[in-house]
Amino acid sequence: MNINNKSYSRRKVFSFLSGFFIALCNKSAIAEFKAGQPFRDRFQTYRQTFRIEPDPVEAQRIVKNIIKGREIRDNLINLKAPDIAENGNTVPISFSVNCSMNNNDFPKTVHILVLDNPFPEIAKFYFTPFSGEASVSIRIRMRTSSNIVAIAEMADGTVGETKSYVDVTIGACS
Amino acid sequence: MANEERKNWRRRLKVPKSANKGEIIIIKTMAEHVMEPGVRRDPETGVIYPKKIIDTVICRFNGMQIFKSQWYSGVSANPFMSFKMKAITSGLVEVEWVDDYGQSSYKKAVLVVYDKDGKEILPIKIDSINSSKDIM
Repeated sequence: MNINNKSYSRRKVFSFLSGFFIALCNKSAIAEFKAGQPFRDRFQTYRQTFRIEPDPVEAQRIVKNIIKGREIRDNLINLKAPDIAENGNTVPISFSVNCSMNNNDFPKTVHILVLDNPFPEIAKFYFTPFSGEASVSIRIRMRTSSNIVAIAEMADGTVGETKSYVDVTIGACS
Repeated sequence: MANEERKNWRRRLKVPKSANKGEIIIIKTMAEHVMEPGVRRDPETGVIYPKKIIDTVICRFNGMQIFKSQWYSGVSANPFMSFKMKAITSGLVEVEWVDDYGQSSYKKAVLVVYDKDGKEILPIKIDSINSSKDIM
């Protein structure tokens, strides 16, 4: 009887402690950020909060990682972008890949990068043969006038790359 | 506040109602979203607005994934995107937007595809089902 009583009390203590702990966690999660301090989200990396200046070395490294020393095919992607963009917040671009979307002649992924943005990766597009034509139009942000780079990785392993320069009058923060 | 929250969840999807077989159709999508890049600061207090963007956009046709795109903070606010699809059979087009916080929203549209003779091409052959005696 004594033992039973003891175990019961222990359980009680544990439940009480865990409840207290959960309450603490909830408080910290809900707590609003104070003025004057940089608020960091749990999905935000260190790089996201503090590296705001553009880094051309890192951009080149990202491009290198995608291409991986493969030969670049000519005339694979048609990239349409305006010569002058008044507002950097919305720059409409569109691209299309020259290929018959049959077996092994379709782009698996298409990357879009803006080299002078603080975060040069903008979007990746994954295609399948069922999308009859690999062409997408989208609106992007640009901080300064710089090159837009589109890289297509085909299903058979070849790579194509195009660049086009866009003048931006009022830049966006991205 | 409630009105602002609702703003982030408005979605639009434009798919042509009917198409001929083998035609390439354009699907236009638009999401009303702030797309906060996680870099902007409040001008008075200097507090960083937390990052909130749409991460992935997936297009499914009859439950099969035909197109996917992954976005980062460089996509503009209220993101518009259009892409293409080959019309083979009539069916359901679904587009799903997934948030940075794992919250997803979707819109759907019905596409009807016609033959040369003007007959609708269905994704499942109904005659074969009716003829089989096992299904009653």
